[in-house]
Amino acid sequence: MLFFILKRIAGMIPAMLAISVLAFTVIQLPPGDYVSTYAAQIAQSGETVDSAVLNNLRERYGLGENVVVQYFKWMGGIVRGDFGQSFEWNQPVTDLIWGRMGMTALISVLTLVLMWAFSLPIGIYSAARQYSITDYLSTAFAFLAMATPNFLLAIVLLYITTMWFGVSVGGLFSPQFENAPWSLAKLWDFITHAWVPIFVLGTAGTASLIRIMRANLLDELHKPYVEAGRAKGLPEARLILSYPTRVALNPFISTVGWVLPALISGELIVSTVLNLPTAGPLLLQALKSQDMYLAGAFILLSGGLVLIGTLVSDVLLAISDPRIRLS
Amino acid sequence: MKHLRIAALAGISILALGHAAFAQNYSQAPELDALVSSGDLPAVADRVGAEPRVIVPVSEVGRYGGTFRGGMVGGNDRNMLFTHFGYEPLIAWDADWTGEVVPNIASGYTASADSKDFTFTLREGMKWSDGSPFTADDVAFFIQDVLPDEKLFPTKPGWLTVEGELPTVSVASPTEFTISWTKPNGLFVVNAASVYGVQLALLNKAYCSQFMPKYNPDAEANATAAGAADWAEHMVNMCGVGIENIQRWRNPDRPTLEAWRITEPYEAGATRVTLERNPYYWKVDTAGNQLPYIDDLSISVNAESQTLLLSVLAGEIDYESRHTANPVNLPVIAEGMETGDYYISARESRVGNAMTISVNLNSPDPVKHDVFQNKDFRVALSHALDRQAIIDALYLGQGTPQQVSPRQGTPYYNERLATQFIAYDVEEANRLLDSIGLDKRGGNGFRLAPDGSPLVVNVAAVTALGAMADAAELFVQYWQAVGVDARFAAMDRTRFYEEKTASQHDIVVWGATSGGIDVFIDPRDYFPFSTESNFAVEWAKFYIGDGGQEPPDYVKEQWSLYDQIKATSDADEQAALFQKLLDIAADQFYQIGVSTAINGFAVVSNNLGNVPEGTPVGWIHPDPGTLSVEQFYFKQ
Amino acid sequence: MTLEAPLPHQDDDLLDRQLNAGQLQAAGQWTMVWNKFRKHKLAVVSLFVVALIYFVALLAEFLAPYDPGKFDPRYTYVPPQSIGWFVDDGAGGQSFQPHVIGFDIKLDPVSFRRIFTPDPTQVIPIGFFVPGQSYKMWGLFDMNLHFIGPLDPSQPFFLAGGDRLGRDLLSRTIHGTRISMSIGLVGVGLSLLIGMILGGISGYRGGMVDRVIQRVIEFIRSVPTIPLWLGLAAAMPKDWPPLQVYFAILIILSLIGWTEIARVVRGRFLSLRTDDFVIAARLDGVSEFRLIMRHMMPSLYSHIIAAITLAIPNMILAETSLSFLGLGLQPPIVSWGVLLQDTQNLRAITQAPWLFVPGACVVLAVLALNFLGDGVRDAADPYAK
Repeated sequence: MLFFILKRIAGMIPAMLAISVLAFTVIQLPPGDYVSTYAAQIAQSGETVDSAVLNNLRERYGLGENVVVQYFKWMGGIVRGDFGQSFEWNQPVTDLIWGRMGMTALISVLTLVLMWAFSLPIGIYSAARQYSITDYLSTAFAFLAMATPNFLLAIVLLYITTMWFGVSVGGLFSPQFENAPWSLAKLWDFITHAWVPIFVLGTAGTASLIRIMRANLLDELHKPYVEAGRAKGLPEARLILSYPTRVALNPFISTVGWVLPALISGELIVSTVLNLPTAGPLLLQALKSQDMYLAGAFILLSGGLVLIGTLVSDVLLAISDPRIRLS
Repeated sequence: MKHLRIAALAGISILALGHAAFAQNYSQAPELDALVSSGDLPAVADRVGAEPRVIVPVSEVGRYGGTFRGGMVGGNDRNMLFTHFGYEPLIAWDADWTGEVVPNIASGYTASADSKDFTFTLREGMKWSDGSPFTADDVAFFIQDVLPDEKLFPTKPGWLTVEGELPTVSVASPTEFTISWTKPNGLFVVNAASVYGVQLALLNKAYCSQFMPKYNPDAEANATAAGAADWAEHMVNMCGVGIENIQRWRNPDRPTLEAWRITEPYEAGATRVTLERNPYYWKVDTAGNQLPYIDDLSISVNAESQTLLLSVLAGEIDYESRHTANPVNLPVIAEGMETGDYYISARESRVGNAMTISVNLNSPDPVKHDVFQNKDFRVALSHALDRQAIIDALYLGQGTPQQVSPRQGTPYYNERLATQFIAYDVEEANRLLDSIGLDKRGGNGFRLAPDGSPLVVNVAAVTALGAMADAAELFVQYWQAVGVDARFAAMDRTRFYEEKTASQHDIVVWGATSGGIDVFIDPRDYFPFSTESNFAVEWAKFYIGDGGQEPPDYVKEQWSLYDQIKATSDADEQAALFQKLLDIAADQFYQIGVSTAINGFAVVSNNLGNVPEGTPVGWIHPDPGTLSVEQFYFKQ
Repeated sequence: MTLEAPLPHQDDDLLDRQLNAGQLQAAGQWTMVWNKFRKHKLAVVSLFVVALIYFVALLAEFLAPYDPGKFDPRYTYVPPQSIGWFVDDGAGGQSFQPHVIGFDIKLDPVSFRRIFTPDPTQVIPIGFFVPGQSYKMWGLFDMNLHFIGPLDPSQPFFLAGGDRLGRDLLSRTIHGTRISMSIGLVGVGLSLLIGMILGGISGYRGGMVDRVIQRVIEFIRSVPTIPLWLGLAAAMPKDWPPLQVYFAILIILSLIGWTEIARVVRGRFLSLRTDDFVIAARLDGVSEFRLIMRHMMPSLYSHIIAAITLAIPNMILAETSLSFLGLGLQPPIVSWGVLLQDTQNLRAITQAPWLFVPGACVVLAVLALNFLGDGVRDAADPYAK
């Protein structure tokens, strides 16, 4: 098993390199560069900028250089832990990326855990009691949740919590806790704020996980060995949980590796609407303003998160279904 | 506009009023009392200096205390801080932007008759936020050491150079210095009173010089130790250096002349920026109270303007005029006044039009080039628009139909430029289009170019700026109605800029810029002046020496008129010259306008006092920076 | 569980011949599927809803009262009108006349907003199959007949309210249906094709091929989709007509979408390929392609159908989210996502909730597709109880 994991980790390196190339290509693709975006932005508010100043900025940021040279400079820096300079913020990317990525990871993992905690039992129950009231209810909920675009849910919830319940607008903390060290009060404040994004992010995913679990289990439940078990008089709960559930978990687990990137992508939209101190708003802003090293670092790190997610799901898959050969 | 003359006329000086009467009985914020009694802070009379600037409160003498809540949006919104709390020039415009210049950091100035020398008088005993004295040397440090430096200022601010020449400075005494050029700089005072003028007194020599190798042999080593690439980068990080640098809002140790100093810096990833009272602030109210009234500032950083709008509705913002105060939000804001406990305060917009429609005169496509350069084509497009209907749809009838022109009521208003071709006349539009060789129609019913090829006209606007994109969608329908195959192209801002800067566009819809005193500072809408002159970017490039195409003689004549404006300080002469320049613009009909500028507004908490009404706003006359934010106060 | 399992030793060619000749109960299977499907009432209802939605998409120009771009500056943010069926005939009685009620419009000087008060004296007669704005049906024939509309085209008629420019939201939503629904359908078709082939090969062959395909999938999946979109949207040549942009976006969506189906197929294949009937077939010398397509795939139908029904709405939602961010389709193209951009403004929530109508359409379409798929999934295995 250890060898299997090591091998998968080794296999991640070329994938990571490929992601870095793609990340770099994506941030290079749009016409123009940070400097032209900057000019466009400040002109919007009626502020003016000299074209000489722009050319100068371009030179300072090395934007005129060959793309390949820029890429290798970037990668060279990353190997040394230097993600380059954020043009827009005039700060090293390293200074700001970890805190935000950490928040993103925290929200995503919390959401993931809660999604699992809800979807697994509901999915199993739904399959075992197909066409029961509970099955219809959970199905209805699942479909409704899947059908509602995240951003709409986020906007409406934000409005409701602010205007009706007086929670301070968006974010993960109230103003007085924003720059304060962690404490019990701050944790509670965090919980009162964090449930909105977790709820919004989690609903759609939970719903599809319920559906997948239910579908997989239904397939298994119709197999002869289940019939045989039932004929032998196994208690229904044990009958379902011991074998079919384990088998049904297989495709279920193989999707877990992607729930994470979906969460991260979804988080991007939701956190922008909810104004969360996570990677989302910064990444979107960086992409819009072509702050390429900042955007690149976020894309690269979210790619890394996904790879780790896939690795975890592969390992779980190997554990849950011994038929999958480790070789 | 007689007051303009006061500002710019040679030889006239303005001097501060006497304030000795208050010298003995100043009072201070209660939160400072303990510091003074413990000896950590000098007495208030020592801190404000011998001749503090006396601010007449807008409605009444306020009370101390409270935390001001504001909001920023998006990445790097540093200019929110600048426009709110960073407008402290040597001399300032009055809140009504009549063109009159009032003393601020300087207690007065004189300009020489030939507009080459400008002498400023400073306030006796005035101090930086760290208690160190503010003197003429600080300004001289900027002009002598910082401005000429290639690393700190690789490109020099245009208003500080005359034909490439930088100013010199001579210090007569700690409170008097003279800035000089060898040629006249007729627009210097106008610029110095604008936001740009803040640059002159931004840097504390004692603190900032420590980062320069010239003053500190260890500067380079210190920079390396701090992780900066070189001393200049380190200095920018610590001192800000430029008025629009984000680093200006980062270092709590940097001495400042502003009313509040930074405590929680504005860094990437920050969710809140805070500032605290500058105990050495050099302004007092008419009762001798040291300003500012408000203790602290707490500014939230929002990813998106709708969250800020929601904060406004929830009553979590005390003053907002930058991000949410547009006509689209007005109905929502108006409805929420009671629950949010705020009111709407009118602001006057002074730009030349609600928007500009620029047909590209420098189109690289030879067929389009000829069509677009034909004035009758542009006149036809103008007649094809039902301006009143557009104004009704977009602005609920605020505004009257007008072309792009300086505003009525200013000495620069040009009636012909403002009112020609604004009638909605489809027949005339069709007649004009037929008359210029666009009379043949293709299979889809649209007009063909004179050579028989399809003539597709892309109308570009930036989606993020709602009103412009909406307007473009409407224009396209009106132009299609007269047979022009116009197509709306929604773009993101960067691509829009890339395209128009490279002259690849056909027609772009964008905002107008100057319409009042600022026409001299940025006349982009009236002749090819900068790459922001969207109707003729290539000609403008030629003007600024950045390649481009040589324009016809009438453009060169406009350039020469503008040069004459810059060379004189006589306001009447400047206005007369500008009228000549506008006559040419009217002959050429460079740009199509829609409506007079739409006025803005500010959302102000009912608890916030001393906020004036109906003041004019603009980038170089920022809101609320020009309203003396230091005398805002909380009633409760 | 399906045909193959009980007949592993049958000659394949014989089986084919029998199938083609209708000697086996192949047709009977679909009858059974239909019989089982009918039992799932929600699925049957959903089938009709989905059919209706696609019908609307097909006949958008005819069904919509107006062109989606037509604006009326007097009716910005006008609230929805409802249809009345009878009017006073002046003699105390009622006569049948479908109509809507006009508005008394006042401008609120404080908030600069139009206040619309329904004015019962303004009866606007409406009719079905009325002539109105002319249009080109499917871009082919000139027509001016509309399913519903005011008899006098100059009168206001806003069944779903108006937007910020006074455009009819109903017309816009109907036109948006065509774009949004076709994105889902075509996009999923494309991803299904790629996903089944690559996923099948990957899971069946294992080894090197599997590893390569897995790396490709991992690679594609680990690129956060939103930045990829932003980049590609910006890189699209500006002179592309809207239709071409639409197809480009469709292809981009499916290029990412196929990986999900491939992954599910592979996961099942990995465990299936050691199942007895597969080993038996292989020992029997059945060609690989045939083994995958005829023996293993059928046992995956239910999974594939489940995956598709989840994928179509996902496509619709993806289009919606991206357009919402301003990265997807752009005006003047009208899709549900483009329409939902308007709900980003708090004004939609507080003063113009009818702007959420396209959102309701998204929910309805996604719900119906999901229930439909659910029913199909359950019915696809008619031998099960």
